[in-house]
Amino acid sequence: MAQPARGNALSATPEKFFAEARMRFEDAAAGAGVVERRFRVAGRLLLLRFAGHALEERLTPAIEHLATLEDGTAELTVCLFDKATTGIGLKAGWDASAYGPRGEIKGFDKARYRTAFQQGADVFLMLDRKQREAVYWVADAGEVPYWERSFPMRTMFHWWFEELPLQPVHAAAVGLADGGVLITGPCGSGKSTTALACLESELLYAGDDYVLVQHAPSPHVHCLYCAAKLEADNLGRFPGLRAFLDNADRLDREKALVFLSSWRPEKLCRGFPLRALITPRVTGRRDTLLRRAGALEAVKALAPTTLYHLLGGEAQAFAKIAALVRQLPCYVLETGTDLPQIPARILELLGHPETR
Amino acid sequence: MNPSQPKLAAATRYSVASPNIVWQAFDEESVVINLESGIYYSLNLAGALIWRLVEAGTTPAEAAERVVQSGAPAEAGEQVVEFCQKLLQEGLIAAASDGEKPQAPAAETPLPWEPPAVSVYTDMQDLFLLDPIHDVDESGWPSQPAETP
Repeated sequence: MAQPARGNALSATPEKFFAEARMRFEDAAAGAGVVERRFRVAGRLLLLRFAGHALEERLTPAIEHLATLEDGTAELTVCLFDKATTGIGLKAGWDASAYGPRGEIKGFDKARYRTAFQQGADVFLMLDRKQREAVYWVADAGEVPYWERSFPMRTMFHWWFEELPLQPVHAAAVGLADGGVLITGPCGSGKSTTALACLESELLYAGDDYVLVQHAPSPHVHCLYCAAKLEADNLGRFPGLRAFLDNADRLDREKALVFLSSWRPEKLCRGFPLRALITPRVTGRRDTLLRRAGALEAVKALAPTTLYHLLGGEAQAFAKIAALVRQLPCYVLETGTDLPQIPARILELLGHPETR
Repeated sequence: MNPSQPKLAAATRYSVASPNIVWQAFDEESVVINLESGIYYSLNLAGALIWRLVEAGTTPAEAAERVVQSGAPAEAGEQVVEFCQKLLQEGLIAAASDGEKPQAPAAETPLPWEPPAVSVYTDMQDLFLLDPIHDVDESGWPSQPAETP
């Protein structure tokens, strides 16, 4: 496929750069074909327009449970393409000095626009709030790492919902239709183990790594991703999981990745009202215990890790997290090795008057 | 005190040192996060009061006077100044630029008085301390991807 001669000059304005990126997408789509997929996220219609199937196949499994066939005007349209399969590249419109330490791009992050290069996943993202359009570009769809596949576009969701009482947070969530818990903590704190341990109970799953929380009019969690990630040496605790792994051949260098839409679709839910925040602590003991904690415990477990991952609007995101924490009782869940005790303690908590 | 550390001037107005420092108040404590360093802090009730006063343009000396006048013991004045020195050492506050005017916040001194205290948490620091992007490829994209799950 021929590479168009078009090139974007340094020192482009955000307006010009976004227009250029959109034209590049149209070039890519003209060659590879447009694949349109619609999703409903927290009640809002999202349209993803892919240039070809390569990125669609990589990114949509984690949000497949949100797919919809309904028509209507999308509240956000994202144009996604890669260079390797479409032949259409994208040149940065700034020099190296424009990059902030986490990939934010100075001068391209004005009120109307959000722009970042996510290091590691090597994803370029740009949102035009006014047009309610965004661009997602990578050099090679085949190189999108497993973690980006597990929570695709999390920064895009963060930007999309910046002005709304919605916030993606680094947390898991399990519960019943009338109420559940947000499980907070940084990587390795036991969020996934706690959430997956609940699959064998009546509790439903709304996420094990990134979920969308709503603090107003009342605390609520929306399921964003159906992908679960586990350390490979934890797989033995979940019989039957191995057969559904997406990356069984790469466990020497990746966490195990499984999509609940294929493994346990009946446990997936859209979300539920939040009744409490719990922070797991892995104890190594047999029994699981629950104890009341102060708000600080939940804030420490939730805010720094979330604010690090999501670029831009940190003060506002912190305010949303704080607004959520102020409304909910907080607990520490000292998780033991006897997995059935984990959902048992959570179900007891949900039946407790303090969380009703 | 280490001579290389900044020294507080009690009659000087200070403000939050950077837009990368964000904070929120809760019932018993306030949490301050420095997004550049990855260090986060909890302030007790008295610490949160001093933070609000300093943020609003009250000098450390004025803050000290205010808490003593509102019923805290005499030694509280010195504790307030020491606490402000700690905030300065941590890089959370910096001398305010000229023209910033104080706006006295409506905040009550928590009594009985407990000295203002700040707890420092560094467990997330490794996550935040990324190497700056120096090298880009021929298309202008960073050429040394970070290990960032």
